[in-house]
Amino acid sequence: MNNNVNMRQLALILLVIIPGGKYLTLPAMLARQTGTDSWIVIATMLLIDLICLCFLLWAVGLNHRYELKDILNMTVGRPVAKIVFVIFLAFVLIRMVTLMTSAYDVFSASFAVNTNWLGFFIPVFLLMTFSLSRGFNAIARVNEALFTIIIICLICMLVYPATNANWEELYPVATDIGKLKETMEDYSFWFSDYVFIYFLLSDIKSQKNVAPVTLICFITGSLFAVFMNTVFCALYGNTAQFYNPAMSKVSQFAVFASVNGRLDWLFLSVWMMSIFIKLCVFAFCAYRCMCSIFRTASPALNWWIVSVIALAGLTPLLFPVEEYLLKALKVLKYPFAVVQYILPMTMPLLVTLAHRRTLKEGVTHEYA
Amino acid sequence: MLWWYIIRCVTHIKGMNSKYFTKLSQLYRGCDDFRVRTITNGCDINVVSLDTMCSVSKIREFVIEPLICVKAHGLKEILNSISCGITVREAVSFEQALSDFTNGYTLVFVDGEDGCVCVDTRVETGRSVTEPPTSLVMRGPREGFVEDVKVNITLLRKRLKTPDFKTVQLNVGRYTDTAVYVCYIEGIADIQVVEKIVQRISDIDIDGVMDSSYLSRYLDPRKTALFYRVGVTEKPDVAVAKMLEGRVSVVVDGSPMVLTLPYLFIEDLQSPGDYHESGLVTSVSRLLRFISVLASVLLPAVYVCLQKYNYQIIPLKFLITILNSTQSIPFSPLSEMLMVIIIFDILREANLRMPTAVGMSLSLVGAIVLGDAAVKAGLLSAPAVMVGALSGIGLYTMPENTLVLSMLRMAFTYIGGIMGLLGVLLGLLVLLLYMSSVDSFGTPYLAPYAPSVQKDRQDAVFAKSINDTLQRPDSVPNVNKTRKK
Repeated sequence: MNNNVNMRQLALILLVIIPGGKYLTLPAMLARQTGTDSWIVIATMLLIDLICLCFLLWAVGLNHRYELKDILNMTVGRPVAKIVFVIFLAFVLIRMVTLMTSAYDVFSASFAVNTNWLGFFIPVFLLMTFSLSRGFNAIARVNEALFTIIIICLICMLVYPATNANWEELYPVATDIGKLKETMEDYSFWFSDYVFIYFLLSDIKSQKNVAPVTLICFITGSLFAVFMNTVFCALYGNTAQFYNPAMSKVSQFAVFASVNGRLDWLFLSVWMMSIFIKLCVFAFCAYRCMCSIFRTASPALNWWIVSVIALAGLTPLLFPVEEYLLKALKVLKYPFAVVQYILPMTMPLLVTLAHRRTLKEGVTHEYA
Repeated sequence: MLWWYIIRCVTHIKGMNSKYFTKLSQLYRGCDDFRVRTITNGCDINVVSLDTMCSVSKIREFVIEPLICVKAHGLKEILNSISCGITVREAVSFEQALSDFTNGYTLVFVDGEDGCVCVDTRVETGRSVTEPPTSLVMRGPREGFVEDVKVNITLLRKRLKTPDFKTVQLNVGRYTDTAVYVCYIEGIADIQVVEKIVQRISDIDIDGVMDSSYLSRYLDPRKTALFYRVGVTEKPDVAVAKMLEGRVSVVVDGSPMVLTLPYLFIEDLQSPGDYHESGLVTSVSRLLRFISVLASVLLPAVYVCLQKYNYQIIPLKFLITILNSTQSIPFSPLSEMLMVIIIFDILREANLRMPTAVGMSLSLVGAIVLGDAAVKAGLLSAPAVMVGALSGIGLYTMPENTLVLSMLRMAFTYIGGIMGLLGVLLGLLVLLLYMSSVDSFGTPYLAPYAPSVQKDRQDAVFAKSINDTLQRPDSVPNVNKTRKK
C-alpha cells in the first residue's frame, strides 16, 4: 500500500472534505438548536480547527520519520498510546457511520431510490475496501483529479440560491451566546476533519513553504462550509430545521433546477463524490488506528480489520444511529476532545520530545 | 528413405574436420533448405547457407567468387578476401554462428578449424514503407514502420541524426530468436528506465515472439492490468517525438508496431496531427475527444439510470419524447441498452474480420438495417439506439483503449441499471482509484492530472503551442529538462 502524499494533495483533501460532510444532516441539526445562528457555530468550530491544524502542521514540519504510534509510544508510553488510539478509533468509526447515514438520506430521499441500508452500504463498503487496498496515495490522487469538478459543482449549486436568499433571515445575529456555546460543545464531534493527518505523519513528503498552502486550502474549504450554511439559513429561515439533507434542499434553487427537470441533481451527484472520498479517508484512519492498536504492520490488506469496519457500518441496521449518537455524545465529547483538540495542541511538543529521546538514547529499532 | 537422403547430404562432404560445422549439420538434419557447397582452393572450404533465407546472387558475388579467385588457407585469410561491401565477421561462439545462420547469414567453414566466417547474405523481403492504416493524418509525415527491424531503425535514425541515439540489441525467443532493439536518446532518457526495460526483455524466456504485443505483455508485469501501460505507434515521427521527451522505444523484428515506454493514459488523447495545429485548436479537439470518451463510457449508464430511477432530472419536454418512444418497448431500459451495446460490439468485431472489399458496405448496411428494423419492429427505442451508437462512435476517439472502454461501458451500464446514480458514482470512483494507483515504469498512469504535474499540463487535455513548450515533461523520467533554449 502506497500511502505517500505531498502537501499539495493534503491541502486539496482538506479543501474537498471540509465542505463535504458539513452539508448533509448537520445544518438542520444545528438549526434545531440555534436557529439561524447555526452558521456562527460552524464558523467558530472551524476557527478552532484552524488553530489546531496550525499546531499539527508545525508538528509535521518538526517530524522527520515517526508515525503517530512511535511518537506516542516514546513520549507517553504504550498503555496511554493504546488508549489514545482506541479513542481515535471510536471517533473515526462513528464519524464514518454518521456520514454514511447522511449520504444514505440523500440517496434514499432526494434521489427517490427505493433502497435499503444494505443496498447502500455494501457498494460503499466495497469502495472503501478497494481504496484501502490501493493506499492513501490513490485516494489523494483521485481527490486531486476530481477536486476541480467537485468545487465547480459546489459553486454551481450555491451561487444562484445565494442570489435568491433572503439575508435578513439571519438577523438578529448571536442572540443567545450561552446556547451557541452549548451547541458548539455538543456538536464538536462533527468537526476536526484534519485528523487524518495524524495517520500520515511519516508519509508526508517534505516540501518547503507548504504550510501556507494547506492553511489557505483549509480556510477556503471552511469559507465554503460557512457560506453554504448561511445560504441554507437565509433560504429557509426558522424552518431550516425541517429541511434535511441541506444540500439537496438548497440545490433546488440552483440555476439549472427548474420545474421541467432537476438537472441540479447531476451536480449534486458529482458533489457527493466528495462525501465518498471523505468516507475513504475515514476508513483509512480507522484501518491505521486498528493497525496501531493490534500492532499489525503487514503491507497486505488485513481482512480482520476490514471486517471490523464492515461491522461498524452495519450498526444502523440494529438501531437508529443519530438518535443514540446525540445522547452518547453528551459523554463522548470529553474523550473525543483529547484527539480533537488536546493532541494537536501538544503534538509539536511530543514530536520534539520523541526526536530528542532518539538522539539521547538511540531508540530507533524498537519503534521506527 | 528420407533419413538416408539427409545422411548422404551431410556426409558426402568428406574430410571436413570442424566442430561448428559438424554441430550445425546435426542440428539441421531434416531441413531441405540447408545447403552445403564444398570448394577446394588451397584447403577444403564448406559454404553453408539456408536456401530460403539467403540471396543466391549475394552468395555468388560475395562468397563463392572471392573464394574461387583467391587462394585462402585459413579463416583469417577468407575473412580478408571477402570483406568488401558487406557485413562479414568471424563467429566468436557457436551460438553466435547459429544465430547469424538462422537470420540468413552464409557460414564459411575451413577444414581443420573450429570457427567460421559469417557473411551477411540475407534476402531482402517485406513491404516498402507506406502510410500506416491505423494512424492516418491530414497533415504531417506519412511514413510508417514496416516489419523489417532494420528499416524501422533506419526510419528512426533518419530523424535522429545524432550519436546520442543509442540502440541495444537483444534476441528473444528460443525458436524465433527475434531481434529486439531498445532505442533511446542518451542524455535525455533516464538510464535506469532503459536498464529496467533491457533487464525485463532479457529475462523473457519464451518459445517465440511473433509481434511487439508479445513483449508488451512482459514489459507490463501486472497480469490483470485493465489498461495498456505500454504505448504503441506505427509512425516513426511519433516514436522520435516520444524519445525526445525521454521515453524509450522498443523495436521488434517482424512487427510494424513500435513500443514506447513509459506510457500515460493521456497519450491516447494525443494525435500526431495535433502538433500541426495551434494550441487553441488542439485544446478544443482534445477536449472534444475527452468529452466523447467520458460520454461513451457513462452516457448509456446515465441514460438507464435516468430512465429507470431518476426521471425527475430529465427536462419535461425531453422526458415526454423519451416516454413516447419507449412506452411500447417490451424490455426494461437496462436490457434494451445492453442489447444495443452488444449489437454494436458484434458489428464492430465482424467488421474487423470481414474482407475489406465487403466490410464497409456490409457493416453500414448491417447497422442501418438492424437499427432501423429493430426500432420499427418496436424491439428497441430510437433514443436507446441513438445513445448506443453515439457512445460506440465516441469510443474511437481513444483508439488504443477502445476495447477496454467498451467493456467499461457495459459494466457501468449494468451497474447503473442495478444501482442507479449511486452505483455509477461508486463505480467511477473505483475506476479512478484503480487508474491512479497504476504506474508505468515509475510514471503515474493518470499524470499530469493525478498526481497533478502543473508543468506537464502544457501537452495534456489543454495544449500549448509547440513553441511555448520550453521543457520536457516532469512525469516522464528524463535527465535533461531543457527543450528550448
